[in-house]
Amino acid sequence: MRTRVKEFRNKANLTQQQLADLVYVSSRTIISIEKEQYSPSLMLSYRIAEVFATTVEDLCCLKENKELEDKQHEDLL
Amino acid sequence: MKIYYKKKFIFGVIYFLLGLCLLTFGFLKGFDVKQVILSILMPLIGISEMYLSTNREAVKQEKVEERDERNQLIKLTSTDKAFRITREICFIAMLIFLVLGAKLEQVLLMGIGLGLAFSFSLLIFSNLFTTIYYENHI
Repeated sequence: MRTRVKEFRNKANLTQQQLADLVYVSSRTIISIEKEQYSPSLMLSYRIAEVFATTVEDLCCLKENKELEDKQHEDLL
Repeated sequence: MKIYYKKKFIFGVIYFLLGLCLLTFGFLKGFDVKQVILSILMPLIGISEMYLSTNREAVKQEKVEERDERNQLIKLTSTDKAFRITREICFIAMLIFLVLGAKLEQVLLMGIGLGLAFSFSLLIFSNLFTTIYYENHI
């Protein structure tokens, strides 16, 4: 899933390890989220959003991702 | 000295004591290469585990790694994959042994095939029961 974690982290001048420590996960998890290899849980998304003073919707590009999923669903039929 | 991770500390103590036992046993009965390596490694692992269990930062880091949601997902996925691979290997080996046993009229091969068939059915039933359980609990 596409997220804006890297963009927000760079803006906040945080390292991956610093962000990982703030949200109680390993730095590998942050790396995987930024590489779009792993979709964070709702609680982790909320914690990250809280660190960057934004919303989960904005952080996880929910509108874009929903549109993408809708399109994939349409292609199924 | 405060112990932050009891399980790790106990594990360290056990390893340390086992290492000491092995060392004592080696002095009494003589060493071979495997014993020398183990009697050096085991106390060292034990001491490092005991030390790490009293180090607040190391324990915190380890607990974060343990509770990390990605690590838990990896653990679940890899266990599931390993289970599937085992089941498939078991099925293929069962077929091979049963067919070979029947063709060559070898009771031993048939016996191995039946043993594998029992393991395969055990895997199928355990999968079925756990699926039913989680269908009702998730």
